[in-house]
Amino acid sequence: MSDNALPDTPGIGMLRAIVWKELRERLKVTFVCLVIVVAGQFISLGFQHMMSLAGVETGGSLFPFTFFTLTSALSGLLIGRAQIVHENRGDRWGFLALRPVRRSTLFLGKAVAGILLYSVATGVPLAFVTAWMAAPGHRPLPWDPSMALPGVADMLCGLVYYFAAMLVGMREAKWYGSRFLPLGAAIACSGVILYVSHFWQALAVVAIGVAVVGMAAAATVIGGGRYEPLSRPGRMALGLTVMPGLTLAGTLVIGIISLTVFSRMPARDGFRSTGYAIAGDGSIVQRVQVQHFFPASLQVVAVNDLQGHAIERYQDSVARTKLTAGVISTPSVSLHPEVPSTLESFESGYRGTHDLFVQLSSLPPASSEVSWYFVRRVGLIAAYENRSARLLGWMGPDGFRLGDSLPSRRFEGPLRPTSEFAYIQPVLAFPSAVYRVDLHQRGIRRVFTPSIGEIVLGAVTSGDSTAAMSAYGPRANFDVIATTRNVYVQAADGTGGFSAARDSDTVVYGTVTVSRALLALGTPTFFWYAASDRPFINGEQGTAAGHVTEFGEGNRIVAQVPIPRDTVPTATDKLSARDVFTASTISVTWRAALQAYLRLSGRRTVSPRNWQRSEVVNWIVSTIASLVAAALAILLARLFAFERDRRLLWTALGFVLGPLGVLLMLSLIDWPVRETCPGCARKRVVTRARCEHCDAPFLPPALDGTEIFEPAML
Amino acid sequence: MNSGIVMQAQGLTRYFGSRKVVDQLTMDVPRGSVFAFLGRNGSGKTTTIRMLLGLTEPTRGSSTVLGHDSRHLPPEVIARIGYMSESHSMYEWMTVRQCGAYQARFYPRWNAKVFDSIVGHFHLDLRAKAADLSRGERAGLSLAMTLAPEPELLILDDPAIGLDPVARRSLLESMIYITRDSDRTIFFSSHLLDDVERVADHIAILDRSVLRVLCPVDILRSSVRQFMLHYAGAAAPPTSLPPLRGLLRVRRSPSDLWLTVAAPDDATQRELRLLGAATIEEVPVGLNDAVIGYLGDRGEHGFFLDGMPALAAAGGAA
Repeated sequence: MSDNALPDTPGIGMLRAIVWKELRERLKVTFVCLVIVVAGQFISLGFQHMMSLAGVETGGSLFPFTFFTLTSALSGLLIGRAQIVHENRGDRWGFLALRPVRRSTLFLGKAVAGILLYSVATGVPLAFVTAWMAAPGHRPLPWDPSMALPGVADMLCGLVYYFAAMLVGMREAKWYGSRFLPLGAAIACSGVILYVSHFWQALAVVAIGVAVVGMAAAATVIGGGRYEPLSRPGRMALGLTVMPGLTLAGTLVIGIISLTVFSRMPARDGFRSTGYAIAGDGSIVQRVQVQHFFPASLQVVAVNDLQGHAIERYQDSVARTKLTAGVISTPSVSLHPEVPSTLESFESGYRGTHDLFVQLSSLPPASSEVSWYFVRRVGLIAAYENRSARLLGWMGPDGFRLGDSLPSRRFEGPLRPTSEFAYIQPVLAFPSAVYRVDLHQRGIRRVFTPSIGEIVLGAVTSGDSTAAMSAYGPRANFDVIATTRNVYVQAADGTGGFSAARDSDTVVYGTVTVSRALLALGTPTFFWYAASDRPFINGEQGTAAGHVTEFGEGNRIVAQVPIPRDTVPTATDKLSARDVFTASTISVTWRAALQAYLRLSGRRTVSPRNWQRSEVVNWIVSTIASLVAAALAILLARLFAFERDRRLLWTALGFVLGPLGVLLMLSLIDWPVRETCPGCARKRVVTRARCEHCDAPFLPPALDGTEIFEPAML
Repeated sequence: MNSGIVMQAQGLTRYFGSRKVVDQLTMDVPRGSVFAFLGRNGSGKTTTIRMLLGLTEPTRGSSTVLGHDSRHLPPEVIARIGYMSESHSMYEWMTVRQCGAYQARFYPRWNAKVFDSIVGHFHLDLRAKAADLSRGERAGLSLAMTLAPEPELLILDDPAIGLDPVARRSLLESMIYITRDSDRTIFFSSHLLDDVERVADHIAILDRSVLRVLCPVDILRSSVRQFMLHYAGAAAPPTSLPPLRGLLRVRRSPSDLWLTVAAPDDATQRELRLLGAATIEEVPVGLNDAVIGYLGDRGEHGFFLDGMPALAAAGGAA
């Protein structure tokens, strides 16, 4: 019988047949996924509706997509798993694979059908919810098409879960071993798309995830589930897919061990740290705190002067608890509004609505029946009725107007970020004016106008958020406005107050906080400049040094006090199991490269975490860990008779990745059995035709005299 | 490759964990043969078949099918192979008609008449779902799907397992029907020795993962002999036997020993005479008994009744 060539275009017909079969076969699981996704959306929207009715501030969050992150991932997992587990082993695999079609076509057919089904299960509810949210009268907040992007990103990220599930289902590995690890890549993708700012970045991450995990899944399906038959790109993709899972699993295990075994030590001793504060008597003191986690508590254990000497009157614990009594402080004002703070970075980006609108609220809250949003695109404040989700009207610089029509005059320039506690008190700062908004009365008035050439950077108010403030009289209620030239302190009604120029000593700082010690002699006012958490303003973060200017009676400067750095818990100075697990030449090289880049680019390279171990210790730990890992890789490669190239590869990976490299090696490779060689009595692998030690071949099975062989058939 | 060989295995070995399930199997399957591949459950038959088809990776060794490495069989070669597994795999939700239509999409030489005739032979309703078919009907449908592509090489892994006699007979007739084409090769594993005897012309027997027999059926039939050793008077068969080369099976009664021996020669005759029997008589042995000699444990305890003299005597006499 001669070889019969296949028809010219058999692939398309076969592919169609496979896709049709997969579509038909996985309808049930798709329906289950659809129900799960729809249920998730209903629950999300229900919560959102209830919160709106209760007047709870949601910040205009994209809450409907909270569950979608989970349900889309779950749908990907379920569909991917269903497509593989029924056909991945035994006779069913034979029935599937032993047909005249390339396994790559089989995989492609499955993937096309799976992606179609997944798109139906998640895309239909997503489209419905998006359309529903976009329609007026459904949600009491502004709508912009970009608000659908988080859902789209989550939906696309579900494809990584889909391929990961196929890979988990197909891979021949122990369930209690490395089989689950590919899910780590999908979880990592989810984590990254939640973190990145831009939609294109999320798309890029998903594209990389789909490409890598998809290639690993394809190679594994084509190879029949084992590692050894995989192509080189397939092995690389599988390695890259397993690595995030190993890292997550390792970190989780070490975390659990640390919590259960080692948590007793810090729980007993606590974490000690120091910070600085303005005391009720107007002095600036060092505060020593101890933090316990089991149970959680934060206790001031000592109060010292700036030289670190204990202050006698605060030896008493009751006095320490009243350390800052009578001190009223504003939230911090950003002096660099162009640089987003950590929280602003988190809230902005494609997953938040911060770039579109900002929800305004007041304390005590205004009517729970209305939600207020400053809509950046139109430069106006929109009011929505929570119950009907209708737009009530718009507020501009000239006041509130009922109805859909937009007021002609709008707020000029971008809304300034004030602080992490922005909008507890509704003071709105724009480059050319500061307004106080009365959400109760639906009124607005201008409280500050900068002089010509001066630009407002931010404004905050001490507000009336604490009951204690009312006890201290009107001096407790003040606004602070920072401009490019001055810092202004004025009464809440815009009258009185004083200002101080921002001199060269203060321009390097990121924020200013204004405090008043109302019980102290002369009720001094303090301008406390700090670096804030805004990165790269002056190369410092978090616990950086600061500078305090004290104003006494007549608003005269009475002191200029440099503030040392805070210290933070020192427990991490000890080498932890996690440090060893992640120690590798690649991590320490990365840190070194980053430092070199910062140095070359002229940025200060002071470590923002001054309590971290020195780089020398990092280098030593990483080098030792890498050398031990490389040695282990060499040992394993010798024991299992790896070929030269393979031995070199895994040794290099052990050295570069450290312990993670050895774990990766253990997770991926199909480790062969070793048995005693009758030639040299040493253990040899059964996968080689000849003993790797003495080159003896495997002996044929022993004859028992019953053999009947036709020589021509051997 | 020798054009007269359709399948070839060279030192084929497979471990599952530390258990060796196929031990250095080397064999050729001649073109046009009906090749019976026998062995007890767990002896490695299915694993061997799966390695030959590239469905399972061998731990060591290699194999070819139709001249191609089993690990990388191209689609055009797979199109020339028909494979029917013991579980008669099929998509349960499909109807009989859909099963045929679906398979037809993959095979360029799909012969609808063959499919229809086998389906008709098994009296299958084209609208019936595969999930609703009896075991015999499933075997029929599976066979139809396997034969309709008109494979050059047909590999059947215990196709008749669990079938009633009628279904078994139908399956056998279908196999005989397709062997009319002398160029077609059938490689099948089975536990049903009557079927083997009826259709096979070559045979291989795996004994605990080791190949012990590989030859034409006639050679096996002529190479395995049974001897009846009769002990007269007060003499009785020895309670334990010395090592006998090629001994497959022993049955005994108070005055007789039946010894099944593989490939006996003059040396075997001398060893038998040393056992002190009054008479030694060679009795005919069928293929069934010859094969069963290999499938049971060697010697006197190959089968449950062999160790029970009274019952074994009755059996032996019979």
